Amino acid sequence: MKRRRFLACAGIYAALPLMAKSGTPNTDTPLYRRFIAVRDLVAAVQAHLLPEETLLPSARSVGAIDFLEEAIFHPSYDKDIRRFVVEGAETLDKRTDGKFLRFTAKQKETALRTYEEESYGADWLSRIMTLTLEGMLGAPVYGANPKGIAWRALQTRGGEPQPEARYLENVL
Amino acid sequence: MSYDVAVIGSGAAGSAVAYTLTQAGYRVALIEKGAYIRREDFTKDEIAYCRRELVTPNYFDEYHLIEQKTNGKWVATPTYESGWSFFNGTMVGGSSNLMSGMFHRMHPDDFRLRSRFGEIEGAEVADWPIDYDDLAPYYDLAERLVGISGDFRPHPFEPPRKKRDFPFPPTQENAFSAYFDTVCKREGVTPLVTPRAVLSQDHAHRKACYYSNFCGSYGCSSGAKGSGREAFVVPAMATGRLTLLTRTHVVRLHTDRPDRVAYAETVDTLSGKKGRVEARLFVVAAQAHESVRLLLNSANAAHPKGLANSSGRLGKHLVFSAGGAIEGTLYRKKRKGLDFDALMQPGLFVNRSILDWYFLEDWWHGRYKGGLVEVMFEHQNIISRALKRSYRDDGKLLWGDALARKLRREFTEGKRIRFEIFNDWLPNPNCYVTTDPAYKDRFGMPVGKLRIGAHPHDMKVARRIAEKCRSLMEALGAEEIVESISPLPPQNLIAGGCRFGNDPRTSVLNAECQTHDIPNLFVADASFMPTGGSTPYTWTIYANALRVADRIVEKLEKKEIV
Repeated sequence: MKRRRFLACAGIYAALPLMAKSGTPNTDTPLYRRFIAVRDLVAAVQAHLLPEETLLPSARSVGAIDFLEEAIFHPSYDKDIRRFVVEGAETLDKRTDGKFLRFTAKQKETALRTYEEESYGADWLSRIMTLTLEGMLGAPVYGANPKGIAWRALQTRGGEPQPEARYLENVL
Repeated sequence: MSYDVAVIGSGAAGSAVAYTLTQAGYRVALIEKGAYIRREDFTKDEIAYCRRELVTPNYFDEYHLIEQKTNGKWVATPTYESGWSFFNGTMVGGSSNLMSGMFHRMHPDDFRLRSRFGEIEGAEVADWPIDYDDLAPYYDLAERLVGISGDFRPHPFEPPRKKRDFPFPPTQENAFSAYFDTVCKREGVTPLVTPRAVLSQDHAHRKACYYSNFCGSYGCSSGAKGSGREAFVVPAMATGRLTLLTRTHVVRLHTDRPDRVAYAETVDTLSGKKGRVEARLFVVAAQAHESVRLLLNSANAAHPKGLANSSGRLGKHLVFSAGGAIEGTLYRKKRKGLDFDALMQPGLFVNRSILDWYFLEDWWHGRYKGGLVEVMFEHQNIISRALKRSYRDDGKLLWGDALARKLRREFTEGKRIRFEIFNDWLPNPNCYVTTDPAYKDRFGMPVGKLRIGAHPHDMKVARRIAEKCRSLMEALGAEEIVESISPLPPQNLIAGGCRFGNDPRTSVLNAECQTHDIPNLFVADASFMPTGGSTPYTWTIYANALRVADRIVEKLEKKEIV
């Protein structure tokens, strides 16, 4: 399986792991600055994938973008996938002439489904979905599943004991 | 500092060897590349343990090359390209911390597969140099030391047991188990209660299972799971004779004369500081493919093809578990003998396996080896369950209200049942480990190159068993039945590479898992296995490691090794 193909499997397979040696996200980089430029767009995509008034908490209400930002810039995250998340957002921004944020819900749906027609866009959307569900359905300590609100919506719960720190920072 | 014995790798095999030797009064260095994670630090953190796999190495720093046949050619791809890794749980206790603990003994015929069932063209099957009776006392010992819970039910294919009862009663079971038994009876299938390396009662320093609902892939925070760390490392440390060297990676073994290993060259995985561990005797137990890599990377003038490789067979005969899985969902509906709310109760075990198809027979092939089926619920990981369900039937991503409704339905209105099939992966000329000097890890050592080729017979057997599983799944009333039978191996069941045998020309180890070439060098992990049986290996690994450790004690006492 080649790397591009592996990235495409975001929805099924786990993200590539790297050993976390430090809990400090790597944010003093050009890539981080590029991410900040498309952060609102990524948040808007997440909000479209998991909108308000469904049976699940919305991406916006739980701050799914904050989890995504910390996750991809954490040392445990695959550096190629980190770049892919940013570049995929930049591509979407370009495809929509920088207007995605101002689109109506219907226009966003059209833009994303059109993007999904290309394997690159499908891979990117799958990755954003993965990062969104990881946050919403991960341990509450990661911040995007406050007090297990998303677990309750699915009438499930995580196992005990739950972590008190993110990314095994108090263990490894 | 010099030790009596240095054990490389603290997983199931290394921990059991270290336990026996320290109990016998020897000073042991147990060298582990990973960290010591305390029992109370084993949280159920899906992101850390399962999504980012923080207890396995960084794939860009440590990886394998994996060779697969693509369009008729063998193509090697590094882990950092494919994401495909055979590292399992780099920490004290190794992958035994993360197992589900479904334990089975191998059948007496598994020790003599070739003489019992004959040759299969294209396979390289060999009988074991020991038989079931040699290992049976150590299966018994492991059962007691590891703490196996179960409820013996007679079955024609069940390996013989000296004592009927297991040391502990079975763990608590979901209402599904009784329903499964009823359906099996109706279908003429004999279900067995799966022996499980999980304590159902407090024992010594370990607490009973607390039914967290998240067992496999996670460490146990009560100590109920019979990991090498809980069962062996903790009591070995209590003797005061164990030195546990964590975050210490052995890069090479050095000999001071052709027939003796003198020391292990080590590197501290955090600081990079180099060191050495000297001992009278060395036991390698670093996981099958990594043990082979260490011996290959330790080549020197006296052993130009690698240590213990005068036969040229080091790395050959790599085996996995063949088979696959079949899944189906029991949705909420009135079902005789099964209350849906009881089915949905989290945490309790299924504890059932099927041995009826361990041997198969038909008019054309005659009698041949089949396999084991393990019955369980779909893994309860919440993120992965949601992600699997976030696609439409046409393969497009599902989102918005439709996604939320589907997830709610799948999480609350149905329970997914899973049958895992374990059958023999026949050793064959296209499944082995070598190294490639062009690809090195962060310590500057060539990484393992694993060629993974399966024998077509394995798939035939798996498909035959899958047919039977499908019928049973339908009889249970399951819907949306999906089979995944594949020639790709599972990540966590890997053996062979240092085959044991009586002939030094065709095997790496003798019957005691001592290398034929170097008397003070043993290999104790699953790499000794000529064939893998049709069961998860862990009980066999524990049992054999305890057997090997006893032989080592005898040799040390008789001063055969000085």
